[in-house]
Amino acid sequence: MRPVHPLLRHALSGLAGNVVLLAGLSFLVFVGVDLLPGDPITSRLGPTATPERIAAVRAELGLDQPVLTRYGDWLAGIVHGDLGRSAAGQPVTELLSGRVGNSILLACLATACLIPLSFGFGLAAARRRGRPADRAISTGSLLLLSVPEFVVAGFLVLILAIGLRLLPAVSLVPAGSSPVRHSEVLVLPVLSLLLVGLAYATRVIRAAAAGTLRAPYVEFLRLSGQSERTILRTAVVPAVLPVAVQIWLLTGVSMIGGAVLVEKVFGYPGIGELLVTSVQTGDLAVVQALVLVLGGATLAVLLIADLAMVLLTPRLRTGGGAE
Amino acid sequence: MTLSRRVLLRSAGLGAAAVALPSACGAAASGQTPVQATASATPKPGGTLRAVFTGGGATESLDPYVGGAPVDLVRHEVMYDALFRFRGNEVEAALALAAKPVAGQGAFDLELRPDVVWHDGTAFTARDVLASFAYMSSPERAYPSELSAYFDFAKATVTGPLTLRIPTRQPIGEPALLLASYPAKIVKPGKSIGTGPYQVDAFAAGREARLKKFDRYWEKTAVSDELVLSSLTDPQAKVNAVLSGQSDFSTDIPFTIAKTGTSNAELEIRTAGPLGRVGFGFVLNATKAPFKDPRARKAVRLGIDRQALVDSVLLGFGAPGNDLFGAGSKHFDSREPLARDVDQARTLLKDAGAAGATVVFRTAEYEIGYNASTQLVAEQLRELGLMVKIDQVGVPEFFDVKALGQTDGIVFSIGALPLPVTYSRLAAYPTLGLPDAELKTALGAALAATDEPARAKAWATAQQIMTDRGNTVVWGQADTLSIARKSVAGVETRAGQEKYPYLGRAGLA
Repeated sequence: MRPVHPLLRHALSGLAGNVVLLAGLSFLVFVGVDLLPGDPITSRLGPTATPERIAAVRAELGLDQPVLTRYGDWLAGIVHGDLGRSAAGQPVTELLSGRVGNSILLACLATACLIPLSFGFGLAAARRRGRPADRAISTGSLLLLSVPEFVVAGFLVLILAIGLRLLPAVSLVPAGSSPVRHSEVLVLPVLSLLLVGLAYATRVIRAAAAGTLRAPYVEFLRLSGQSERTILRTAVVPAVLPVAVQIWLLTGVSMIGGAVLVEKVFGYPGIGELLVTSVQTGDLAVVQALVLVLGGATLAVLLIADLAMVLLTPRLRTGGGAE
Repeated sequence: MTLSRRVLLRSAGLGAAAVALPSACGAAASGQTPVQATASATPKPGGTLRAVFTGGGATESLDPYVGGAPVDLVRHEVMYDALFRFRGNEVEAALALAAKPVAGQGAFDLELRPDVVWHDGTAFTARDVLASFAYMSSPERAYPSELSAYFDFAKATVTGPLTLRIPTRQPIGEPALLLASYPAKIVKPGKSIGTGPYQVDAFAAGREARLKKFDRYWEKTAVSDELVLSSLTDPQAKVNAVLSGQSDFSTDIPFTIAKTGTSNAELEIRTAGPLGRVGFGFVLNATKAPFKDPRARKAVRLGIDRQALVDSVLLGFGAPGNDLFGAGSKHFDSREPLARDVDQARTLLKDAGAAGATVVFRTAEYEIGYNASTQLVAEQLRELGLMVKIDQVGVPEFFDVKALGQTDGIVFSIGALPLPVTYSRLAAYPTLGLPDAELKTALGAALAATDEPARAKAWATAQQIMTDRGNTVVWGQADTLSIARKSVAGVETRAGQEKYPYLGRAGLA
């Protein structure tokens, strides 16, 4: 029998593992969100609603059923692409459509900028270890890391939008249009996400590259008279890339969910804003759907990161030495 | 890399310099006193007015009986008309010309305005009103119209092309007041068309609505050709939209931002004025001890330091309250607030057997300042010997029925809504209502009164009872603040709608 290609083997086992994890996650999400304090009915109907009215609406939305029955119904719905209905009675899939795309767009743009910049800064700092350029990059990233992302966002608004009036302060996207057609509204949210993600990725890449540059085989190449460019291309980049890809993917996916505060600061029409309003109003169905989408996206990206690791590491790719 | 302390400090110095930059950019600096909306300025016809309000995200709707976020309410006000409406705090005719009680019949006759057309060009008739009544009071609705408590819409009949007869469930002397007070927009069920001065051009829930002027509006047509209403959920983002020139107007801005003011010469901070304030306070649970005893309730009223609360919670934007909700509305009893008297309060508590008692006050940051006010009141009441345990919860769990029943006091606020609305909302829930037969009689008399002196007398009696032994503790009247380009004119505040102004006559001067 032909042996299965290591990459395919990894993909299949990862996929199977993820399906099990996703099933577990869905249960945790449903029950966990259900246990959150708050009641979508009373928070919507307010203090003037009679207990009979509250009971009637609860029954109408099926909230009077036991949690396991509701979980079963929810799961059956998901299989058919139905994420349930919000407290106001709108289909959750309708609420999410468009917004998920907007958030992914934001994360993709930030990641697309993050990849070359963090790689460039990380390698540059590692090569100039201990010198002013390294100190500037490392200190800058440390400072950025120590500030919450919404502070970075607020700061950018103050300077670039309100002070200098170069860019819009909030992402007001006209009705019937999309953020892509109004790219100016994307600049500040992308920049905010990028700055925080960049700080982290640069530090990790710098550390990995600095370690490689001190490795005996690099020292050997250098003593053999290889140029710095060749050393970088043949020894440092291949060693750093598997680590860097993991960081980029993880930072990218965390930007989808982690962009909550940034989206709120800019009023960006993504899932972050929806998540905040749904949690505030106790709209369980929407929160459950959003958390599941975010959890599923994270699992998918972790799988891709695993596969990238296999692909970029020759020993794992060929199956040699793995066992 | 080893990062020496010197290097870090030097780099941090650069960061600090960058932090100092925004003030140099002139983002916010002064601290002017808010100006009252420039009623004298006249907006120029034409152009586009852009305004931003608190949105409801994806739950916003063009249906006035679905969406309830401030931006929804502003949009509904200009797209749809009601039968009667408020100008200031006086009722005036809108789609209806008159609502006359029929003597001895337990009903009233409604006469509609002729020559009104819908946005789709069809004529407005009595059948549209009947359909709207059925739609708003449908029992399948999560919250059927509160008007159903007064009127029996199911038995309403069309008596002519522009007349209807509507039975009432209790004697109602002035049906127009109730029809103006409660949300009762006339709609074509299931369609996003109204009879208002603006019609929808484009709409994206949670983002924006573009409304264009309706040229066949029955009243004077709107001033601006186009209204762009944007939705944002973050208060700072709303202000930033105006500061950066992306929008012309935003209201309900936080006191902290108003305190900072703006150094931009084109902008100003405005206040809706004394008639557009929101009463901040607490409602005491008069169904259980210790607040079942009116002396304990009076002790709380005497024990709070109103000015201190106005200064620290509202940052001075407002005035002390007199324990009655509805300041600014017609028939409101604007007597002087009680002065703090800790000794008398202690005596009253002792007489009520509540000295040293522990009470639970429930709070959530439903409005900015709720939690802070509860903390402060708890400290002030501790001086009387009343131990306040604060039950601070998230907004979604605030109205939990069981918890509300167990609590001794809850934070509460209500704007300058007409008194029938204020008192019906307070009476709707057992924990909030005051179980008092005399109050019930006075409120019934106020609703049934067909002439002005009788109505005024009944409201005076009801508010006297609330002053003597009421369960509301209104410590402050909070200003409603907005930020606007100085050229924005014609923004109207209608009774109780200070946070959702009427933009039908608004534009740029």
